[in-house]
Amino acid sequence: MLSKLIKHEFRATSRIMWPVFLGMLALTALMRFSQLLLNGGHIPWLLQLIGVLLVIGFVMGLFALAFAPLVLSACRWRDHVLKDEGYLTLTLPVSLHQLLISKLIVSAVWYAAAFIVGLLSLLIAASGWSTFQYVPDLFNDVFTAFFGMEASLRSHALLIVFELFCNFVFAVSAAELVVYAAYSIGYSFNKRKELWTVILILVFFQLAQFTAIAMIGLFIQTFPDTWISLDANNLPTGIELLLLWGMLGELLFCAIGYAVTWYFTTKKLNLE
Amino acid sequence: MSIFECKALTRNYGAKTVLDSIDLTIEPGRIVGLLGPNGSGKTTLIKLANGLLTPTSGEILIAGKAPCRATKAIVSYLPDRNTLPGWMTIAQALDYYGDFYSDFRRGVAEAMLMNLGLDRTQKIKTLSKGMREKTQLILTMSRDAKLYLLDEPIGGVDPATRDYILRTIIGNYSEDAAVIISTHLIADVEQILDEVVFLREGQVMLHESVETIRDEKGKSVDELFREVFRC
Repeated sequence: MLSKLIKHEFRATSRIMWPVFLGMLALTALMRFSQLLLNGGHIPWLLQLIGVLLVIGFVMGLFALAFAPLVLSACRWRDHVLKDEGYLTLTLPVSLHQLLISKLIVSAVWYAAAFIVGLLSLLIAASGWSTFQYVPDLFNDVFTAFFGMEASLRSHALLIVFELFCNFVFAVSAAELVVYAAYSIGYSFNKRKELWTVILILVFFQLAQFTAIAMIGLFIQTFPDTWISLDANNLPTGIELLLLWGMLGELLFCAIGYAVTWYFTTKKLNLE
Repeated sequence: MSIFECKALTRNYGAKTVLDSIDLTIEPGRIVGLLGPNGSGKTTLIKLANGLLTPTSGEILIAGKAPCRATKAIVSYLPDRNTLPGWMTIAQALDYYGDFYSDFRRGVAEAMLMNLGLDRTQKIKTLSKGMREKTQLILTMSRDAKLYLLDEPIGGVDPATRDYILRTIIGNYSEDAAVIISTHLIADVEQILDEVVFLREGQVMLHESVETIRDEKGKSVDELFREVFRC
C-alpha cells in the first residue's frame, strides 16, 4: 500500500512541481538572455528595467524554489487529510504511519529535485553557455581527487557525504512534521483553524531555533577538545561529530512532530 | 456474526453527549435507515464506524473488530460531502479506488458511468453538484463491500437523481452485505428499507423492521417518524 500511496502522492504533487521547475528554468534562461542583451551597446531604458526586474524575479524564484516543496507538502496535508478529502483519505485501508511516510518520501524527492534545479539555475545564471562543456570534466576531477586520497581520508569523506545526505533527509522531514503537527493541532479547533495553525507554526519554528542554539552550546561543552585544538588531523572527526549532533537534533524534532501529528490526527480529528 | 454492533457506545464533544450509551446490532443482508432529526447523532455514529472519531466509552464493532485497516477494507463509505479532489479526472478517481480497494469492480463502475454519459477524462471540479454526487455514489457502490455506510446520499439532489441513486443502491449491493442509510428524506427511501433505527438526542428510540411498523402500527415509516419527532 505504501507504494500506491507514493504513486498517488506523486500524481497529486507533480502537477504543481513540474510547472514550478520549468518556470524557474525558463525564468533563468530569460534572465540570462536579458543580461547578454544588456551587455551590448545602447539599450533603451524599458529593456534595462525589464532586465533588472528579471534579476529580481530570479532571486525571488530561488527563494520560492527553496520553500515550494515544504509549502506544497503542508497544503497537501491540510487538504488531503484535514479537510473534506480527509473523509476519503482516512477511510482508505492504510495506516496513518504509511500515509505519513509516503508524504515524507515524496517531499524529500521533490526537495532533492528542487536542489538540482536550483543548482542548474545558478550555473546557467553565473556562467556562459560554453561553460557547460566543462561540467563532465568537473565531475571527473572530483572522482579522480577522491580516489587519489589516502584510504583513511576517503572513509572520512564518504562518512561526511553520507551524514550530509542523512542531515538533508532528516531536516526536510523534521520541518514537514513540525508543520504537519501545527496543522493537526490547529485543525482540531472548531474555529479559526488557519489562524491557530499559523501561530503554532511560528511558535514551533521559534522553539526549533532555541533548541538548535542550546544543542550547539551543549555540543561545544561535550566535546571541548575537538574545537580547542582544531587542526587538519582532527578536522574530519570534528565535522563528522557536528553532523551527527545535527542529525540527533533533527531526529528529536522528527519524533516530536510525528508523535503530535499522529495523536491529533487519530484521537483529536475534527473534520468539518 | 453481526456486521455492525455498538455496545454502550458513547461519544461526547466536550461537555455535550452526542451518542449516549447506544446498543445496536445490524445483521448482514439488511438495508437499514438511520433516521433522526438534525443533531441526533447519525453522522457521528457513521464517523465512529469509519474510525474518523474514537468512542468516548463503549465500543463499536465492524464484523467483530473495532474500526481499523481491516474494517476499512470491507466498509464502503459515502460521506455527506464531496471528498474527491477537484483536480482528479473521473478515470483517475477510478484508478484511486482500484488501487486501494481490492473489492473495487472497475467494470461495474465504468458501465454505470457510461449509462450516465459521463466522460472519464472530465475533471471532478467541472462536474455539476448532482453529477459529482452520482460519481461518488458510483465509486462507493462499485465496491463489493460487506457494509455500505451512506450518509445523506439523496440530500440536496433533484427527485430524478434521487430515483437514480436509490436504484443504484438496490442494484449494486450483494445479498450478504448490509447497507446503512442516514437521511431526513424518509418518504423517498422508505421503499427500499428493511429496518429503521430512530435516533433522538443520541439515543436509540426505535429499532424495528419496516414490515412490523406497517403491520402492527398500521403506519408508514414516514408517518411514524412525523409522529415520534413532532416538534
